[in-house]
Amino acid sequence: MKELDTIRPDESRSYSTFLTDGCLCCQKGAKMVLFVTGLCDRDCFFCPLSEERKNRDVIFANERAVLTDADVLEEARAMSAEGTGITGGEPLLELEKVIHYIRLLKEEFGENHHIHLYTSTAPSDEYLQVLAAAGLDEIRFHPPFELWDKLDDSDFDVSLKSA
Amino acid sequence: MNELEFSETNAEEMKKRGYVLIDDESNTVLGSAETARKAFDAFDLCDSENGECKMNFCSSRYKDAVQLRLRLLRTARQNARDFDEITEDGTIIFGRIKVPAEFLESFDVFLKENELPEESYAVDADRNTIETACGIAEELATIFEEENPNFGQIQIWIIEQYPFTGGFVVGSERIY
Repeated sequence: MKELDTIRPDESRSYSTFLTDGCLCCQKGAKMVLFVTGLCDRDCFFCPLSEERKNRDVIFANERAVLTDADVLEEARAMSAEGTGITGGEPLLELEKVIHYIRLLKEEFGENHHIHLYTSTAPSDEYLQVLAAAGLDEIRFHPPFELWDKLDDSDFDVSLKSA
Repeated sequence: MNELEFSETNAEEMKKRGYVLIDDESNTVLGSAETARKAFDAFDLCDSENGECKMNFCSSRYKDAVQLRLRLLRTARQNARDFDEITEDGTIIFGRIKVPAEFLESFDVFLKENELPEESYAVDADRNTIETACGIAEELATIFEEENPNFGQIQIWIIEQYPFTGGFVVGSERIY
């Protein structure tokens, strides 16, 4: 068993054995949060989204309401973003929008602009291929609570392995 | 793993299930961090060098103290005007003077007569406001108290907000 000090506690009581590139970028304050839709087909009791976002088809780049692509790019420039985390709602309900923003950000800021995505769905191999081809760097699965005991037999197991 | 948090929209459902806050000052759920800790232990702290089990617990405080604060600081450093004061939290503090439209021009002349350099304030003719350094606004408030020059119903405010145009106002205080 490893000693406790091998994990990295910080002043905020976070700790890890490993941080992804997405996390490292966030740690510098360099990740933009792109909220692509408030729509979601789940109804998790712990969902903390505000009234102005929850179940609404709205887009925000950090706190900025987004009407056009220019809004997204302006926000990214304002914070000198080195990466973007795509969240929601359930982003993959709006796959085309997600693909559009991945391409937009990569074209504008280059391949090194690190993009990660959150989903509570178990995307098919085909979806994953499309996301990867668009340039998505990292994906984070949030399987629903009721599947936690049986992840091995779920679609998430398949998605995780192909991701 | 993310720390479980209370918000305005989930509070009712959370309470129903017996979740409570860690204290009055945060939105953190009691026991969440400890549960994450147990998950680390359950995997024997996993040998990260062999890449067998990679874990990260991101606390509620991290999101505020690191993610948000550093992002705001980054934005502030890039966008702050010469006269904005950048706080440790990444917010900016400045003075805002609300001048009736008909006095906006003469007030600008008044500032120039007082030898205020152009870069030390900004005139917004659409909103009839002048923004300037906190210290200058305070000085102006003192001058107004003493001399009461006639610029109509003028107001002087100290504003603290997120570091971009139209950013969330964290605090404001009227000083004249």
